[in-house]
Formats: sequence, C-alpha cells, structure tokens
Amino acid sequence: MSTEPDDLPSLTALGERLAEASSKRRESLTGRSARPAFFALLILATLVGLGFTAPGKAVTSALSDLVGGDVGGPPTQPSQVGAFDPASDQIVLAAGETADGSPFEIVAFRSERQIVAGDEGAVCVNIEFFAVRSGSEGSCYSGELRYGGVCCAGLTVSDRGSAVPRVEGEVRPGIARVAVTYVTTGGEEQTTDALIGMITPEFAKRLEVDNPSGKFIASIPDLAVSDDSFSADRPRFPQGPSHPIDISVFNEAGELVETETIRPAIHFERKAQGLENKRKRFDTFRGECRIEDAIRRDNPQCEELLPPSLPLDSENGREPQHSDQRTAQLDRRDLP
Amino acid sequence: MDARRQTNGKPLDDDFPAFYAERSRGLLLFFARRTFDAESAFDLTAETFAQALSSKRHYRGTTDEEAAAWLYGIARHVLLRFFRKGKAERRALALLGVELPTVTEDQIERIEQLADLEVLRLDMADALKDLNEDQRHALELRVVRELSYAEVAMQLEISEESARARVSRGLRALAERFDRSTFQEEAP
Repeated sequence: MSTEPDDLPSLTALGERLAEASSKRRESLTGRSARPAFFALLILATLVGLGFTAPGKAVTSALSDLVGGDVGGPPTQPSQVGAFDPASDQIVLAAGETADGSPFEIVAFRSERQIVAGDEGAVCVNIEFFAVRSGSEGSCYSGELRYGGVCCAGLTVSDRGSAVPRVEGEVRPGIARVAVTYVTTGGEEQTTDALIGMITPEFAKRLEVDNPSGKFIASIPDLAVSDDSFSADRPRFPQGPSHPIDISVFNEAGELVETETIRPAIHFERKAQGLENKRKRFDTFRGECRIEDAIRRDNPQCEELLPPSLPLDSENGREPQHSDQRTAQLDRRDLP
Repeated sequence: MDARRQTNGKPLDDDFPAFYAERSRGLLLFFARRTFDAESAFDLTAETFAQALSSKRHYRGTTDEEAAAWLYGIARHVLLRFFRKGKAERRALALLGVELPTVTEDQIERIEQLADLEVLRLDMADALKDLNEDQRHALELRVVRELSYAEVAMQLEISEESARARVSRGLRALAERFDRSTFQEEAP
C-alpha cells in the first residue's frame, strides 16, 4: 500500500467508488450467470420475427410511409459527409420527423475514403433534413463498435434541420431501443423513444460493409434549459439543459445494457460555444458566397472572406471533417 | 513493495484497493504531464481504471509489474483517444455507474505541483518551436497561457471543436517526442 499522505482526497474517493462499483457489478454478473443461453435464443427468435414475418414487414412499411423515402430505398436527395464520397448505393435506414414537423431520413452509404491509412474505407450514416439546404448531420467510421450499446451521444441545438433540441448518437447492432429521459420547462420528467436507423444484415450486404452499426435520433421538445448569464446573450445557444439528460439503451430482449448521461454545463457549454462560432462563420458568408465556394477557392471574392485559420483538406479542397464525429469512430478500432 | 509480487492473476479483483493505492497517483501524474491539465488528468485516470475493471477478465498476468504494464497499456489508449477527441471519455465510468468526485482548486494546484507542470510548461515553450504555426499558437494559448478551450476558440476565431483538435494534435506531437524520455521512465 502507498504511504503517501492523503493530499488528494478526490483520488482516494475515486478508488473507493471504483471498488464499490466493481464489487456490485461482480455480484450482478454472478447472479445472472444461468441466463445467457435463454436470452440468446430469445434474441434469435425476435430477429426472425421482425425480419421475415408479415407483421415485421408491415412495421417497416408504416414507418416509411410517414415521411421521406422508402426504408431500403434511395434517399430523397443524395447524401454526403464532407469529403467522404459515396462509393455504394445510398440506403434509407429510417425516416421520421422531429417534434416541429421537420422531416428527415437516416441514410447510409460506403465510402472508399480512408479514415486512417490502410483502412478498407468508411461507413457513413447521415441524418438528412432534406427539406432544408445544408440540413445534413452525419459521421463516418471504420472498424467495429465493440464497446457499449451507443457511442458518441450528444445534444444538438441548431437552426438547421429542426429548431427543436435533439439527442443523437450511434448504436451498435443488437440494440433495439434507445430511450431518452429529460426534464421539461414545466419541471416534468419526459421519456421519449429515439428513432433508430440500423444497417441490417441485408443492408450491410448491399453496401458491402463488414461492420454495420446504426444511428439514433430523439427530438426532445420543451427541454428545460438554464437561464444564467451565459445564456442571456445567446438565446439560441443557452448554456445547456438545466437537468441531466439520461439515455437508456436496451437490447432485443428488452434488457437494459447501458445508460449514459448528458450533463448540464459540462457538455453543452462547450457545444454551444462551438455552434456559435460556426454560426458566426456562416453569417459572414450569407448572401454573398456559399461556404463551399470559399473553401474550394472557386471565387476570388469569396476567398477573401475565408478565415485564414480555416483548415483545408489538401487532397480535394473541401472542408475536412474535423469534428469529433469523425474521430470518434477511430475509437472503435483500438479499444483494449 | 516487491514489484514482482504474485497477485494470482487478480490484481483488479481481490487486490484492487492495494493495486489502486499503488498505481493511481503515478498514473494521474502520467496523464497530467501529457495533457498539462489536472482536471483532464483526473478524468483520464478514472476512465483508465474503469476500463481496466471492465476488461479485467482479459488480464492474464500474475505479477504487480505485469498488472501495471497492462494498466499503462490501457492508459496509452485512453490518452490517444483524448488526443484525437480533445476530451476525456467517460464510457467505462458510465457503465460502472461511477460518479466522479469533485476535484477542488487546491487539489488541482497540488496535482500541478506534483507533476512539475510549471517546469514542464517552460520546457514546452521551447519545444513548441518545432510545431506548425496553428498548433503552436493553440498550445501557447491553452497550455502556456492556460486559457479555456472556449477562449482559445475565440482568440483563433475557430470553433471550440477545432480548437480542441489543434491542441490535441499539438499535445500528441509533443507527447511522441517526450515519450523518448519521460514517457518510458514512468510507464512500466
């Protein structure tokens, strides 16, 4: 044992919490040791039921009838993630609309662009708000999501696509439900199920991808936000939710497999600042040049407006994907 | 303590409190010296131990030394992801349901003192010369002048995500250089 004085009580407290959590987890796993075989069979039965029976197909069709293109068909308008050009069909995984009626499609395609040298290419999954210009939010990844049920969940507030806050992230195959719980302005706790667009085995075959995953999106209207001084000057970009937003992830057997929490301030203050900077940049170009023109340096007048600090992708002149959405995917490859 | 003490292959089960007490402080300073940020270092330490606990069934070693090498292997992955994303992940912590304790200002100061960050910052000012201008400027603001990421973003007129990316890439470049000296001294 260390004989260091306890001048870092937080470190000591952390060790106690980790030990306690590990102990609880061990007890929990021991208690469930007799159940895996049963649940493995149940999962298989559920997959067969949804994938091949008439009711299963009916659910899929009903979803696509709501808005947008057909699930399994091409998107309403071509999808792209930055410089990741599609090298396969583009497939609508799911379609829906946000609480304010903004329609969107979750679209997947394969790109031959490598995220890291030596990759076999990337899989891209986009949320396309096809009714508005530049209403695309997406990410590309390579490798397999092996850890946890969801990845890279975050809260988005944007005047592009939908003005209603939404929680988005990626889901691992086998995840059947993502429930998002938040507190409304009335102080009530609200739970809403996210729409999941999944690259099914059939879609994976069509896209020729080995590591399918999916994306989820939950529109959370009337979200209670903090109203401190930070948000006073930024009505569209408040500091963040006044209460934590919980994400609960369930597998096909209905078992809770993971929970995540988006915490006020810590997560959103940084996000809001990034969004505001991005908005300022777009305001600069609005009405005179398209941001694409400036980045590609097609128009000298637009080029003058290009901030010197804006990084360029030297390969093709497009704005690189330097958000955490792209880099987050790399995490899947190198987990211990 | 004998570095080769037998642990019966379960340093993170029965012996976890002792293993944590033995290794947590060193790991915290390992991260602090690479991120120049005591809070991030604390988060990374917590996530590393949480990942170790979550994946302990894969551990095959039998000595403390092997357990420490395994722990630092995880730590390097965690650090690499921090450099890529510009922020510490808490996925394993969330899975375990562990809430991070608050790190007070005086503890932050203590971590910086233990990690000799003041001295390292001076060393860094010299090492920055070899970085490209974007990364150097971002690191000067973040590490040397200790501005927040939001402030760095404002100064550079870029998004906070881009600011984080620049700082992270710069830190990674420096870490690779420091690896030849300090990194290997600390990491078993």
